[in-house]
Amino acid sequence: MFSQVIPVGLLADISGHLRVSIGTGGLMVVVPAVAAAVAARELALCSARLERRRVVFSLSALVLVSDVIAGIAPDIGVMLAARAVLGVGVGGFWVFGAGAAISLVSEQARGTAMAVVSSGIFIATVASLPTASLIGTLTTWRAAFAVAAVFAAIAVAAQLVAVPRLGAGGRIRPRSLLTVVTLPVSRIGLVAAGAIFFANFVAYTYIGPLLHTRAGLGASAVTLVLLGFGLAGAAGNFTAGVTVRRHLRASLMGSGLLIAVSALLLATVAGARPLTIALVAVWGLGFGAVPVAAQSWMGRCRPTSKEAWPCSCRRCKARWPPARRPAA
Amino acid sequence: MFVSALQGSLAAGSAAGGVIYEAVGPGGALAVAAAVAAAGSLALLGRAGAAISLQSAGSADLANRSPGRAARPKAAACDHR
Repeated sequence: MFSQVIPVGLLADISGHLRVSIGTGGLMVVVPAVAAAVAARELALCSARLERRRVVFSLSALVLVSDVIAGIAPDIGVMLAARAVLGVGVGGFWVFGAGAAISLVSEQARGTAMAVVSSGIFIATVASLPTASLIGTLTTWRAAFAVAAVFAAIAVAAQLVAVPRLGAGGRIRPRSLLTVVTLPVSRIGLVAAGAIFFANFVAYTYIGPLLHTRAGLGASAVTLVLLGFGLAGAAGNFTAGVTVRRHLRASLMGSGLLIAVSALLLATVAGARPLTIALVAVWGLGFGAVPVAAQSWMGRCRPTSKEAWPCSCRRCKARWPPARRPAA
Repeated sequence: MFVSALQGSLAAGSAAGGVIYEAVGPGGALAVAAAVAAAGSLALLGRAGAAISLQSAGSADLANRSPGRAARPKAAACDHR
């Protein structure tokens, strides 16, 4: 997470050093996301039968390699190649990370394991952007990648020392991955979440230059505003964790509308620093709720008991293979 | 698929934002963000979006229910075979 957001907080700085425009610099966010989108599907299908510890270790090592290369990148080409490598690691983590954590503990402790993983992602979400921005502001953007490489090295070492063999996963059919788009309820949730993600990153990737040009904020002030964004995101994340239980649709809709309203007002207001900072916080509040609401939506679209899926016909088996069916 | 879709949206949004930022400036990127976020949110107002509210969290048979359609019959009455 830290590695992925470094260019967001330091976009103008990195783009300037690599002699590319802000828009071209945005490719440092685009490329890893494309690589992650492709890698997530391919890794889920192709490495299903590989030993999980090796897979997770290899993915972490890719992040380390990416950070080292990005930190010494002489030009945008090398930087984008390094970011593509990062994308493979990140995409794989989203596929295997939680599953690996669950398989490390007993069945009774699975909830705790998921909570620990979620907490780590949550903390990284809040702290990564301002931390990267702060390091880059105090030193150079290359130092931010060096710190990310140290974090990755610690993760790799910890996995070597502490993680036992996890065994191989089950076979996954390509068709089973399409379940999310074949069901009307999950499909509309995916469309909405995808649109909100798209909208957020249209502006969020360029938030540093945006705050500089729209409100005249300097680098240190931008760091503080990004910290505010992260804290507001944490509040949104926590709030959504409560509201999705009874008001899932309203939670996802509300988070998107918060982003829409704050972006619209930011587009119309220029120069008013307190208002700009407040609107960025509202934006963060909205975006912090999106992952929780979107995941809850998808989770609710899956069956939770075998009793609900008594059908054993070929079509139903293909739609809900055993690996995706919950225990009775 | 969910991970790929969201990472793809992230990539597409960042790419579009870069083009708009270069062409129009930050105001344009913010306006597009506002429009798309509103559209995505309002898409949930339809029947398919409303169907998620029909069952409480943990509900099982929602996944196979099309909006406005009754719940799927039990195994004995399955029409897939």
